[in-house]
Amino acid sequence: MRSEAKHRLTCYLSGVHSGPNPSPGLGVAQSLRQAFPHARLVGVDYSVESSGLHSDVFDDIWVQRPWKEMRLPVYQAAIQEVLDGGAFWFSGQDLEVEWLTTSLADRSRAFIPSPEALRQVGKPTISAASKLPLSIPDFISAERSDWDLHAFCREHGWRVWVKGPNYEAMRVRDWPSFRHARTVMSDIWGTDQLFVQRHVLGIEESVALCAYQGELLDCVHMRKHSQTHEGKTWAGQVSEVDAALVEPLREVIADLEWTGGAELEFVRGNDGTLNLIDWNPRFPAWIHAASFAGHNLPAKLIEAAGMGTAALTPFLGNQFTRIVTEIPVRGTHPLPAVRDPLDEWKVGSKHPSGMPDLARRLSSALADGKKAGGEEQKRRAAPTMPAALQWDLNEALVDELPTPRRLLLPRTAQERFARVEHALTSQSVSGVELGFGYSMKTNPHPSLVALAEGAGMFAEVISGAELRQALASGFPPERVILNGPAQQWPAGPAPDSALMAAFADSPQSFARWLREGPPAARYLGIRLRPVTLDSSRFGTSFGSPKRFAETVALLKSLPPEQEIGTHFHFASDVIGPARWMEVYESVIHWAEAIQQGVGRPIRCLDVGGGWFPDDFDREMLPRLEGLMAAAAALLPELAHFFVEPGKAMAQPTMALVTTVLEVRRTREGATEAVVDAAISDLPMAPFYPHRVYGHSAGGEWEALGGGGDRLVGRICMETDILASDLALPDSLEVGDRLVIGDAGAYDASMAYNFGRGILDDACC
Amino acid sequence: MTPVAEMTPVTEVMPAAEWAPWAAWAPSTLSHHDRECCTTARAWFLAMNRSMWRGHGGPAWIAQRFPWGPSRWPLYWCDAMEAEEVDCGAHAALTIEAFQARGIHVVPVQLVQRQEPHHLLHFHGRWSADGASPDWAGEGAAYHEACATLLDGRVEVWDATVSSWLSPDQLRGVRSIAAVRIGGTIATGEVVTWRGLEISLGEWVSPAGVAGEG
Ligand SMILES: Cc1ncc(COP(=O)(O)O)c(C=O)c1O
Ligand SMILES: [Zn+2]
Repeated sequence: MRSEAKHRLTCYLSGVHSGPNPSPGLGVAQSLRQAFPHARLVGVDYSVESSGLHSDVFDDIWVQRPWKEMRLPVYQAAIQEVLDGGAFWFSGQDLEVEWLTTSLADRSRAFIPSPEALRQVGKPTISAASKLPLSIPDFISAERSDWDLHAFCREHGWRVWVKGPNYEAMRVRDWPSFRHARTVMSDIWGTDQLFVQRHVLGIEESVALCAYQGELLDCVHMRKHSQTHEGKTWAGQVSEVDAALVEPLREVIADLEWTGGAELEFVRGNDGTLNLIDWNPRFPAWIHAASFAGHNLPAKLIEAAGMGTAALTPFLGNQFTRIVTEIPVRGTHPLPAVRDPLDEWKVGSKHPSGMPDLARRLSSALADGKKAGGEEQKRRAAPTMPAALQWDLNEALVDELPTPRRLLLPRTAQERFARVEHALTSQSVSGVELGFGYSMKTNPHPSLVALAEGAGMFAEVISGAELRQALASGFPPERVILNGPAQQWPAGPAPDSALMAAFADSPQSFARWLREGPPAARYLGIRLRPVTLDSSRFGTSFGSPKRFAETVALLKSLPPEQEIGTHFHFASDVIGPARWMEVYESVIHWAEAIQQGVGRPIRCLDVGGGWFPDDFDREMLPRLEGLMAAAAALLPELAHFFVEPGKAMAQPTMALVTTVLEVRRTREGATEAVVDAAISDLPMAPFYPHRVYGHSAGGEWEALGGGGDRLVGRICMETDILASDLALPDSLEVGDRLVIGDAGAYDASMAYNFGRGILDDACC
Repeated sequence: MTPVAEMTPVTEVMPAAEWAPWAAWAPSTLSHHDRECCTTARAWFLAMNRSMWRGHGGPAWIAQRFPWGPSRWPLYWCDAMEAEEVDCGAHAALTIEAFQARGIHVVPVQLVQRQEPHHLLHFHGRWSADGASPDWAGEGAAYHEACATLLDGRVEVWDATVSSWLSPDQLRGVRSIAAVRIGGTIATGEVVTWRGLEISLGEWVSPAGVAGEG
């Protein structure tokens, strides 16, 4: 044991867990130990399971009650006493910093920023960074309506994160995983103040700095070389910060009057942009690597506070890696007894320092008078209600219909089809004719098919049955496009004249055409499978030159007078419009390569459907001219360009009217309404948000906002949930009508009979 | 941080025996059968390049699609595109095509990189087993190829095999650069800058300034 000096430097380091997601306390302690060998270092944490407490770098440890149960004023007074006694406090936890900065009467010996500075570095805006040459990736508050959130995710191609206000982020890939992440995150952190941010593809880097009363003392740059599954640094390289960043950073730090450590985490995008993800008000866990690379930031804080001169930290290298090793647990602080497992899923805690508990305490402290625990439920914004829908619902006398009932919305439908009709006349590229093929399978309702016909659309069909229905609905063969893997099913008479186009779904189908005679069509072709989406079951793969050559050879075998075309389809609501545009760009280059290989021009390009209605209106229709021009530039003899919208036309045109059978209030204060519709009437319920409408106090229809309420269906299936994350009206009663919109596409065509006491006729 | 102020001609700093065998090598190029086999293979590669790489950074898809391994030379387009692995010469040649297809000016880069001496037997064994020449691997050093984008007199060196940009300041250890030649066999006298270092195109030089260090 070292002898106790009179005015011995004493530092408390809180947040010392050292695991795959470590806190910085251990690294700060190691750095201080090198700079001030005789300092007294005290490790602080909120559970003996925080592993760094057992490191021998600490002279002493101070284990607190868990955040969940401690008396915050008692702890605050104890810390103040420690500081008043001349010690310094290095906080290693964002939330602890947030708590300390507002609760300490005198911050001078705690290396933490002011509440105002902290506010300015808060996520996701990080307003302090506006003067830095960094950009903040697009984000949206999770308190917006589900409709808007879904649109944001589509816009970013489902490369998005759901993030908490302090930390933790979950990657989401589709609507179900989004909803799951939102629930998990708001449960863990006890807040609805989540946000959704786009993912930035690039290299993860950060800048660690230390500042004292607004003076930037030092900073270093770190590039991650490898990371854990959670994205935490495992190995990296420390270097100087780019001069272009240091100077503005110095000014920002001065403006903020920053004291303490900080870490700016950013992603260097492939396009060279620097995207700021986070500004943490504390040192990063890799801080000791900066020290042995020649920048001992914790020591500089102590020097700035006038506590002497640091011993030189020897330069050991600028690259670092972590290792895993065992150390003995302190005899004075044995591990807690192993608990009998409650259930096999909950093994250990991801947060041994109890941060989520502190988060919940801080957020309920902020919520002040408001009763914690549900009663005062948080509500998210309602989407706006389309005017045509208001008109349709009023006309339909919704309250008098037998339910459940799917309702065709005539004015809404007319508006949809009028859009393509308008595009047909307004978008043109010389020599290329634009056509829209209504995807019959999406919803073959006679009224919609008639509207499509009337709007000058083509019929896009995927079976003999659909083909004959299109012909019977008044489409002449030259206004039909035939696709899909089962075009010959069910067998039936061939049309009298040639179709507009037919595309084989696979090289095998095409080979069958060559053997048995292809359908009579102005254009024949084969569906391509975009190479970046090679897991698709459809189309011919171009994953290797052999496959590509096979396709070229098949097309070459067509009679010389046959005109050829190319087709692809990939749902843009799955990959997002932006990535769809990239796929499109690559497809037209493949078409060019095919054209060269076959030695015959591609004269028809069919880009399929898969557009979410709003994206179709905002992203697709206005770009058509550009898309056609890009294709025509590579395919000079292009004559026809087809788009095959299905849900973009049909989805808004039908709504499901349902009656409330029972209203349940749950223990958490949420409402659950049992209705007479079921998941079998709305099979797409889990996959995208459906806007729900109810009567306002004034009797008008209005869209419901978001919250913790649910609409559950009439059948005995756990999955029979029509809508969750909804805010139902407080006045909701048995017998009330609710309208679920956006139910006119696959909700209509894929609805099934379960729970109606009938079976379809497919069995004998 | 850059510890080297200028490039030294490699002849002054490296024992001739270590690098001389490679000094005369020309950058690798793929061969073409002048038939449909190679025409289709090249058309496929260019369309793939469009699909897999947007033109930012480097075409990392190439080494992902064709991991590093032995190639037999001369290497024809049709064989390269069906190969499961290709060597760094093929990586570099394909990368040059990829950059050029995106309208980016590139020149070949040849390197001598330090290697663990005891890896030599593995390299020789693996290449010989495939009927490929192992001459690129020496004891403690190996011949390697990459390419450099050239814009306004500045180069950045893209190493397709490891899918990253190289830096001249790694002076020690495995894969550090003992010698480099940018721009192929013909010395034009044109000088370019690589991350602060001036280099004459077509001349072998050493960024380390000291041979055999480390
Ligand atoms: C070839 C083709 N065209 C059009 C569509 C219509 O798609 P959506 O209803 O998603 O617009 C589909 C749907 O799967 C399709 O496969
Ligand atoms: Zn060939």
